[in-house]
Order: sequence, then structure tokens, then C-alpha cells
Amino acid sequence: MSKDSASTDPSADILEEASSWMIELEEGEIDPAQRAQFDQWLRRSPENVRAFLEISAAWEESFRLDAHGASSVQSLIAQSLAESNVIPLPTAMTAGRGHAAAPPASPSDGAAASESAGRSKPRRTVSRRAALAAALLAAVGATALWQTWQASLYITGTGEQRSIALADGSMVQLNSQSKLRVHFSNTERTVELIQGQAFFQVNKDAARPFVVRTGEANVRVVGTQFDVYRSRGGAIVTVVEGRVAVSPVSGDTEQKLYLAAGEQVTVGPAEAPHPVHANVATVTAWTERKLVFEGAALTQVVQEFNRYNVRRVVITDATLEEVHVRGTFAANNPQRLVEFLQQRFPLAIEETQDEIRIGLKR
Amino acid sequence: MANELKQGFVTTLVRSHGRQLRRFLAVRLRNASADVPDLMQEVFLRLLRISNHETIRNPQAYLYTIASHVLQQHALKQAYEPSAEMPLEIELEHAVVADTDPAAEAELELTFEAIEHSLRAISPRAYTTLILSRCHGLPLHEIAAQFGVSRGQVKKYLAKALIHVREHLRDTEREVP
Repeated sequence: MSKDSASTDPSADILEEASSWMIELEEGEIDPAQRAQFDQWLRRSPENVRAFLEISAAWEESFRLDAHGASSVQSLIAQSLAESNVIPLPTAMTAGRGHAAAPPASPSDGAAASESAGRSKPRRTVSRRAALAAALLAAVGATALWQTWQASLYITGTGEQRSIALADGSMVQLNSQSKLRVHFSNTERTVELIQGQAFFQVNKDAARPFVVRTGEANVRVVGTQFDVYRSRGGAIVTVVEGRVAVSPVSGDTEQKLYLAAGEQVTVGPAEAPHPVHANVATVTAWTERKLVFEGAALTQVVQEFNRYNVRRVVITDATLEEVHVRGTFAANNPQRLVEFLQQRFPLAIEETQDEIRIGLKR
Repeated sequence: MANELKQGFVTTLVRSHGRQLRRFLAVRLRNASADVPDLMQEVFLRLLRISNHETIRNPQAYLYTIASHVLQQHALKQAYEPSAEMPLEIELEHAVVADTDPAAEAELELTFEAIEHSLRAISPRAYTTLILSRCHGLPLHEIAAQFGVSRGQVKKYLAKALIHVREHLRDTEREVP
């Protein structure tokens, strides 16, 4: 764009290499040999470092694309299949049967080729009837697949909690604003905690270990009860019963922390993880829709309430932020928190449809 | 083995602090935000050179210490005298405050609206793949199954989308006076 772009911009090839590394690292499908390769690649030139940073930034910021979005997986797929201006007959059939394996090469190549053709010059030569048929087929295929997919993805809204019985008889309790995906195979029972918090009661199966994956850490167990919370500061693992092995995702993959009942570890970017003793009852109080605070700062208390309630509590006076709270509350009743504070401070409460604004009386 | 560890260390820092560091630098380079990518690169090149990273107890503090050194040197290069505004010591709290700049946030929102339109026009599949992967957390092989193409093909869609987003972000950085 500007004059200096030629000298500072990574080439198209390097950007593609950087994207490829970024994607495989994000997917977590990299073995030690590839890691070494990636390291060499990074060291090969400062241009590579720059490309990797810029592509990482593109990935990080892209969460905004769905910011307005109640766009469901289903509608996105149907839409983009219809937009690609081809009749994806074999493709849709394959998808409809829910095969995860790669389909035969010819239809997929055909679809990809047609898409690139449509890209260079949008074609409108397909008759309306054919286009309609394509959209319909795509929607049917996507719906069938969506159902098999959805069967393994669990999402809770604000204030919503769910109990999920897994195929092996294990139980998961999913907290408010959480997202969990389940993949079971013959050798491993894997669940991914994409967001939020979950409490697991795992049935014993020595042949198939149960693994909870988060971005920060993998938690491996045979049979036990434990809680995983993806907080802002990292993944917090608390063991209620039995033993679990926690391996941080970054750094030394050999490193494992063994936690016993009553122990907790936080795996985050800030510092090396080390186990501490935890009050198990406090950590799992949410499963009874209770919030227990033992001298937590008001800002943190408010944050916890806002995980469960659409109507947000907002502190408008900075001096209140220093207040520490000790007590047990019903998670879906922020009014109790307001009363609790009113008994102690001269408050000015302003209630709108979306917010409860708490400040000090002037 | 040591290389592996180091790679993990730097990648983790990019993952966890890349965005925050970019803001940190942008806020302190108000009149020269086009320099942000250069300084980011410099910070991470220095991180790659560290040999005994496992002794670093607080990677975040370390990252910002390096960043502030890079900023100082940059300021010295720009003028005969260091600017009075350029902080000589930067504390972690400042980095946290710098993370939320409402004006920058608003601009990014606008940029992403433009990206949404242009990417959809260029390749609906690249757009959909990026959303499914980034916002819905679907792994590539699942997206491949939905489209009925190979994982390799979906990876190409995603790479294309990322390169497109990166292009827009870079242009936005350059447009700022």
C-alpha cells in the first residue's frame, strides 16, 4: 500500500507458511518433530517471525466476526454452500450421512474448483430452479450433519445450567455461559471445555482414560470427581475425589502435576502452576446455584453474579470496588447482594432494564 | 528438546499476550502506530534469543520489560533526545489499562464489518471456515465433513481468510496518522 510496503511486508509464500503453522498449532495436532521444524522456521528469518505474529493477530481479532452473531453453525454452512453457486449433490449426500472421513476426491475437487471459478467472476448462469434445488439440498445435508454434530456440543446461556449424562454413564454439570464438546472413541474419552466451567463425575474405565482439554491444560483421569473452570487467569482444576493428572499445554509436554482430593491448580500464562489446597465446597457451590465468597473483592463478586444474570450489576463508584464480601448468595438473585450492601453503605441504586447500577449516595 | 521448550514458550506468549502487547505499543506510539508491527517483531525476536527461559518466573512481566526497552530504543532512534512522554519505567498496571482503548475498539469493529463483507464476496467458504473455526471452535476435520471436502482444502480456506484479515488489519494500522 504505502511506499515502504515492499521492504517490510512478508511475501505471500511466507504468509501462507505462517498461516499453516498457526492453524496446526491452534488445532493442537503437532508432534515434537514438527515443533522442532516450526522452531527452525521461526529462526530462519525475522520476516517469518513477523508473518507469524501478524497471522496470530488476525486469528485473535477475528472473534469479532461473530460479535453480532446469533449465526448458527447450521445456517452458516447452508448459506455458504448455496452461495458457492454449484449443485453440491455428491457433497451434500456425503455430508448428510455424517461421515467424518474425507470424501472421494472427485466431488470435493469439483466443488473447490467451481468455487474458485465463481470467485474470479461470479456466475449467474445457473437457472433459478437449479439454484433453489442446490440450496435445499445443502440445507438438508447440513441439517442432518448439524444434528449429529450438535449431539456432541453443549452450550449454556446466561443463568442456564445443564446436567449431561454421557454415553459411558459419566455425568457432567455445565455451568452458566459455558461450551463443551464431547468426542468419545474406543481408546479415549475426550471432552473439550471451550468456555466456562464444568463439574465432572467420571465412571471408571481403565482402558479408556477420560481427558478434559482446555486451551491451557489437559486433565487426565481414570475415574473421579473434579471441577474445571476456564477463568480469565487460566484454567482452574479442583479435585473433589480421587486423583487427576494435569498437563499444561504449553512448554514441556512431559510435565505432569498430580492432584489429590482437596487440591487445586491454576494453569495460566502468569506463572508456573503449583498445587494449593482448596475449599472444595466453595468451588462446587455453583452446582447448587450458590455463590460463596470468602472475602472476595466486590468487582470479582459482581463479575460472578454477571455470569448468571442477563441483567448486569455495575459498580459506578470506584471506592466501592475496594469492598470485600464474605457470604453465600443465590446465584440468580443479585437483589440479595444489593440488600447486603445497602445494610452497610449509603447506596444510590439506579435500575434500568439491562443493569443495576450501584454507587454511593452523594 | 530445548528448542521445543522455547518454541512453546514464545508461542504461548504470542497466544496469551500478543493482542495486549499490540495495544500496549499502539497506545505509546500514538503518532506512529504504523511502527507497531516493527516493534512487535523486535520484541519477539528478542524473546527467541533467550536461552534460559525456563528460569523466567513471570513471563508477562518479562515480556513488558523487553517491550519497554524496545520502546525506549525506538524513541532514541526517532529523536536526538528521548521524548518526555516516553516512559522510562513501565509497570504492569499500565499494560492492563492500555488494553481497553474505546476508540481503537470502535475502529476495529468497523474494520471487521468491512472484512466480513469483502471476505464473503471473495470466498464464502473461507469466511464460513474462519467463523466456524474461530468463533464456534469446530476442528478442521469437522468443517471438512460439513463441506464434503478434505481437511487440506479447509485448511486452505482458513489460511486464505487469515491472510485476508491480516491485510485489512495492516492497512488500518497504516491509515492511522
